[in-house]
Amino acid sequence: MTRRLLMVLSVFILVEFAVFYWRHHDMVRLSLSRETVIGDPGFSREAASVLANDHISRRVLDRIADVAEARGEQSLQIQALERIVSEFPQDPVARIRLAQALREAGRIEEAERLDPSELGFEKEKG
Amino acid sequence: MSGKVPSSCGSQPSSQFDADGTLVTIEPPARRAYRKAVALAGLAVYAGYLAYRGLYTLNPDALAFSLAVYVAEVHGFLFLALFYFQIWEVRQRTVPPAPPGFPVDVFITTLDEDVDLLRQTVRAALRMRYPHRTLVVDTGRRAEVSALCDELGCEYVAGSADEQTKAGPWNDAFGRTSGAVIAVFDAEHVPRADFLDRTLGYFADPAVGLVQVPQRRLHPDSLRERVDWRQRCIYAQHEVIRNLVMPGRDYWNASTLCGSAAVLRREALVPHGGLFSGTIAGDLHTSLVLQADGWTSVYLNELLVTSSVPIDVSNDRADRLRHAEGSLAIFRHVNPFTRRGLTFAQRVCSIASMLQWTTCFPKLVFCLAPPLVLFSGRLPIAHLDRTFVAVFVAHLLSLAVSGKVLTRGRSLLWMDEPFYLSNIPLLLEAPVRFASGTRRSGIAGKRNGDYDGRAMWLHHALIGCTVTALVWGALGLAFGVNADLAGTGLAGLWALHNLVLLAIVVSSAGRTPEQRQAVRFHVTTPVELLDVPANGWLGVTADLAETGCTLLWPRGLPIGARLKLRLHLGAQPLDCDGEVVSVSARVQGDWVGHAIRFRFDCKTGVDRLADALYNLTVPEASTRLTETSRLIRAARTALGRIAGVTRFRAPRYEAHLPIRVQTRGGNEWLATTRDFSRGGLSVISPSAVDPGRVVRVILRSPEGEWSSLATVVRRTALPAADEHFRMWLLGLRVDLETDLVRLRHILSVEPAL
Repeated sequence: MTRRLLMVLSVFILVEFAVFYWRHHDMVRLSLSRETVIGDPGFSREAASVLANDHISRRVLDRIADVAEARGEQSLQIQALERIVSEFPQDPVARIRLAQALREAGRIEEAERLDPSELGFEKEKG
Repeated sequence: MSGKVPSSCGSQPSSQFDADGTLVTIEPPARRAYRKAVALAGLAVYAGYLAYRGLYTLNPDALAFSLAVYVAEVHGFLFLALFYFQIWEVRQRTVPPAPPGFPVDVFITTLDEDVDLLRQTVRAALRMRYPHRTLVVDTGRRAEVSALCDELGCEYVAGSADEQTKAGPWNDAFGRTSGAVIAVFDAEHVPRADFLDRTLGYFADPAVGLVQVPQRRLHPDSLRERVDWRQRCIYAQHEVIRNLVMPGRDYWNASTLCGSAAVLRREALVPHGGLFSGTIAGDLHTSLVLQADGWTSVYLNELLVTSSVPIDVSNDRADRLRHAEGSLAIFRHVNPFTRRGLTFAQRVCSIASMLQWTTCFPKLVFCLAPPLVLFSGRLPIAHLDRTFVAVFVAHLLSLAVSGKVLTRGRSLLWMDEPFYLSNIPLLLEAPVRFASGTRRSGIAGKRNGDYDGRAMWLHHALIGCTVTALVWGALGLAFGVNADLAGTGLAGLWALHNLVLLAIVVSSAGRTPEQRQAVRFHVTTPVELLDVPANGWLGVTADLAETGCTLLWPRGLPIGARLKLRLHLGAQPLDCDGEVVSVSARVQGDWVGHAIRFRFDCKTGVDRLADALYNLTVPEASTRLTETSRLIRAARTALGRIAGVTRFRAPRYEAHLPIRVQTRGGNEWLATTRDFSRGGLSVISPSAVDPGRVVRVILRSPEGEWSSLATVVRRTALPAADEHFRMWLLGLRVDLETDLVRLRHILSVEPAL
């Protein structure tokens, strides 16, 4: 009886892996090595799909921002960083990264609204 | 406390005797007050927890889920409050002497049980000392049962072929007899010879309509019962009912008829034509009606009836399903909320009985909640913060402590939870069957069969659901789908906890002891092999059943060997044939274990073995297994030593070995050692020896022979239901140090002993 139960459970778990991949293949692909994800032609589509979800872990958002920066996809990078800052508003590193990304995209005013003193924008203006 | 006395009662000579006067307290007032305070404090903490949960932690994002968990917790509170109400005052009964000349009928009901099983019940019923008339009520209408009645000399009553409940044929017998009281037994409930002497005295009170005694079912090492022979502890769910709930309900005059091991006053049943047969649990129905009619019920907590039938998971399930359905059906016929004549306490106790059959719903919610969290990522709690954790931990601690105190250490969470989990499928099925009008047989079978895994389908499904949820949760965390580490982690721990409990349920249901046709008792009795050149060798049983035993013999015996055994059970040895079925590894030192199947040529041998089991083994086991829990025992010993009440005992080394005892007068008999200490040994002997006398003890084991003179320093009579099976515990002091050294060497015991 126990053996049969274990066999059935094993089959269930295999099916479960397949279902998980089918539902969250974008997440799974984003978890591959950084180099692999950077070279992935479908990255933009997968990242956009992931960002549409309500619940995403910080690790995944960091990965999207990081890879998007490496690929020069500023829009995706800013989107990911904005999610991070909205979910972790007290994280100074995230705010700095977002401000830098916004400035590089030419959105200086939005960057200034984040925390100008922290980023030294006052000095640049002067 | 008693209900009103019906005007019609009092067929027996009226007296000043009041059965309520036999209720005595078993604990001092301070301890009773302490337990009540703990009960109230436990309920107050639970109520506070529920208020906090309801006000601050319901999750609006998953409201249905959150409410389901909350309702399950409220159900737990109600269940606990009703349980504490029932055990608010736990009393015992003194036993009044049985009045002479009471006309007594004894009904034994049977459906499809083995005739050999029924045989022992009928024999025991016929041997009850108080004059009575015995009838076997056979719903199965079997010719072999009729023949058995002819052989043993009792009356046979065949039930109707289309009858689905026990009450129908029972009422046929009721109509044919005229005894003032009726003792009722199921086919496997073997009464003691003094059953009627202990129970009839209460009927001197004309208000008493029912006397119920517990039905002790020995089924060690099953889902229902676990035994630790070394620690002398037994856990059984029915032990809590027997020792706490039923005595507590007795205080409220709310004892119920359990269908067997009871005595009923005919006059109380006459207006209703006997037991109620309209429901499948006619016993419960009848007792509620008797309560409403104003009759007093008595619960006598003495082990006067024993059952040693192992019930496998399928039969157990059928039995409990009958009770569950019956309880629901009774709600329709005798609504405890509205039934006139019931006291407040009787109403509460009845509702408690019925509510216990609804525990499946909260248990199912608690089983499904972790998988739901792991699959969906939604929690039933709105704010999983430190405040919630602190309140929840306080609630759990309060539950554990108050439960331990109120149940006097008898409740074990790790046994209770699997038991309740095992009930889930049948408790789900009962309301469905009740609502759909599907009726089942009113009598549960008593035969074990092959393990039917279908009975555990829901548990297998829950295991599958929980495991896959755990995997899903782990995948979600690993790939970042789920960002809630704390919530998922807690749900994962909860799921693992459930998984362990479910695994216990499933594995217990499939274990070998659940499949056995007879209970194996932990009995160590000396054995001689009459046709084996033994050269003075003796063996000893490690366990014993009506069908066979495990024999420890100093050397291996071939499988298939036919043996002539002499078992020294009680004062008169029992000779029987046996066959070696298997040989196990050396189980005690160099002793070899053999599974022996008995072969009896005639019924006399079976009867004698059964007599020994019921009159010697069962009372002895029941007396030995009296410790509530290891923790309480250790605490009691430590407190006793501090107070100087408990004397220090030398460490004991438990070893059950056969031993010859010789007196100076030339008498010789066989006994079994129970344990050894630095200064001597204790033996279980069929003969009593006065303290101060010197005997020679001879022990022969594979490690060598030992002989010594020993002085009897202590003699204690072991409990026995029949004087023919009286055994004695003798404490023997060995005076010669050299003999003790040699004994330790033979036993391979550390010098520290």
